[in-house]
Amino acid sequence: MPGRRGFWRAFLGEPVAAIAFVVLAVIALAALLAPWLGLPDPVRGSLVDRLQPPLTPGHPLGTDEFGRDLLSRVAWGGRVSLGIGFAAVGIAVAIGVTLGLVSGYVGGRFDFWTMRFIDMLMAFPYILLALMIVAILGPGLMNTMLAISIAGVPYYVRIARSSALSLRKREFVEAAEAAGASSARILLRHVLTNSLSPIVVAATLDVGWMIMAAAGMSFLGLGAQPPQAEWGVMLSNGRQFLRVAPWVSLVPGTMIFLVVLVLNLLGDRLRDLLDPRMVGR
Amino acid sequence: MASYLIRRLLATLPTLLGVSVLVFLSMHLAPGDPALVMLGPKATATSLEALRGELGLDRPIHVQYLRWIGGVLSGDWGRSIQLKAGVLPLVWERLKATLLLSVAAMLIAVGTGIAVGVVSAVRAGTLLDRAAITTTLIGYSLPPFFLGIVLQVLLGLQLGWFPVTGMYRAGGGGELLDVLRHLVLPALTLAAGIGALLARMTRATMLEVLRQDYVRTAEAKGLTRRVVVLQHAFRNALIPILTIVGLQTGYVLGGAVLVEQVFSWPGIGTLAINAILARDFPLVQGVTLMVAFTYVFTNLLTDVAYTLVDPRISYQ
Repeated sequence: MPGRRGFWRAFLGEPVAAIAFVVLAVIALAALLAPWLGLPDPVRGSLVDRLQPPLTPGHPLGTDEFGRDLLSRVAWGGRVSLGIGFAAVGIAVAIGVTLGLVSGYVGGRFDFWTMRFIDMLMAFPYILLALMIVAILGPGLMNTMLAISIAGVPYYVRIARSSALSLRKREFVEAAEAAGASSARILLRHVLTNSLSPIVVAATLDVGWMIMAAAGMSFLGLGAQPPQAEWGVMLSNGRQFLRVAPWVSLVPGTMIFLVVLVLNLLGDRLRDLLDPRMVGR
Repeated sequence: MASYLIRRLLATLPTLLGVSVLVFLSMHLAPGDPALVMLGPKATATSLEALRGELGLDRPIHVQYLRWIGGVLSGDWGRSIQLKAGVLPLVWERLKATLLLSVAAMLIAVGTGIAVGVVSAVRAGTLLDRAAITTTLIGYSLPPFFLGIVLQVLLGLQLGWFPVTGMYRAGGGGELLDVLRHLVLPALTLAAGIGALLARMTRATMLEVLRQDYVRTAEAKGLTRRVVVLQHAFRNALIPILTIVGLQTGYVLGGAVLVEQVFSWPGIGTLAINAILARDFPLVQGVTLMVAFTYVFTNLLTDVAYTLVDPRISYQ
């Protein structure tokens, strides 16, 4: 790859990817800086202002049934929704890649039993597995995050394992073994670094998916709880007002859609650059 | 063929066994005393004791599992704590609604997804192709619970074309036409993501197949474009497409949970959510087991379907 700067130039050289990157950056910045943007309180509203449509002075995206400013709630909710999505992928990657690399590199009995366990987990559809874990841990925001990340682990174990399997017999790994490098060093320095491309592509495409899953869990009442500003909760609450004030649901819904869309676009672009052979899941 | 089917069925046994162990353990993995978790902190000592006795919680765990799996195999799936009824009849009743929704969604998704993918690949690079790519990208980026709400607002509330919730009209007896009208919006919602993904995969596979030598040969022989595309290219693209269809059954069953909640569809998903919120473990176990079994068997059916589509795949 022609250096880091060359990569970014190629990555953002395509207009659609560049626009997607800007949109994601704006949403992420708004979420990160929400406390300092001078927005109204996201949890307390005034009943006088309830169910104001978008473009009302002072409330560009309108208000909800408690008169809370939707722009403020969307920004604050982004902290939760984006945070959970990225954190869940981080946890899934950390556990899955470690397990997959060790399993593929070490082989033998450890590999056999790990893979049987992973096969067992994969006999459950993703959402169902996440639901079962929420049933075990109990509903709540943190438990939901754990559930969707654990449910995502098998995917990364498989990617990392197949990578490790193909690298195990490569000359540079055998050379490192012959030179007396420890297994841990070989795994970190040689196997992991050479497996990164497919993992990074998969993880990028997965962030959108996990954000959607986390919002879905909150939508079902299992994740974040009202009055917390979180996109899934907001979408779910607004359903009672679909006839009179559809924007209460449509605003947070559009945010989830937009973030997932731009993450998919960026993931596709990354795949084209890093790993043209890979097909999305 | 029969012996292949039997062998394939036997091969799913370890998976089913593993699934059953995980589902069984779910109750015991919950932090704390399972009986207390299920009945809540206000439970009396007598009711806790009764539940422990009913579930056999005082016995060694392997004995509990054997007793439980024995019950599952003989049709006794335990009793729902919250609904005070047998788990199997409850799950079975709801499964029918979920299967109706899932099959309808799958038919829509496979039909439109494959058609769009093939047309898109044949017309690669044209405006039509670009429109298809954009639509499919939007399709699979739309969260099903959000798309459901959008469809409810547009086609249900604004235009009044379709009912927005439930499976029957209020007080209705569930005539076929009535159920179908209620089915349209949830089935479309569930189908969108899968259809979009299928269209993308079909396009990619078809593009690859269309580049093959035998397609060029077929064209050189003077066969019409239609014959080349449908009989030569599409038949060979079917195997990878079938794999994706098979994998999507898991997504359909999972997605149904969300879509059912949006449309108050009386399926297994709404049952599961209520059971999880009430920490009604026998019911959670029943639903999970049923969905996982359905998933394992649809995967089996996909494998069998391969052999029908591609005679090169032997029954070995």
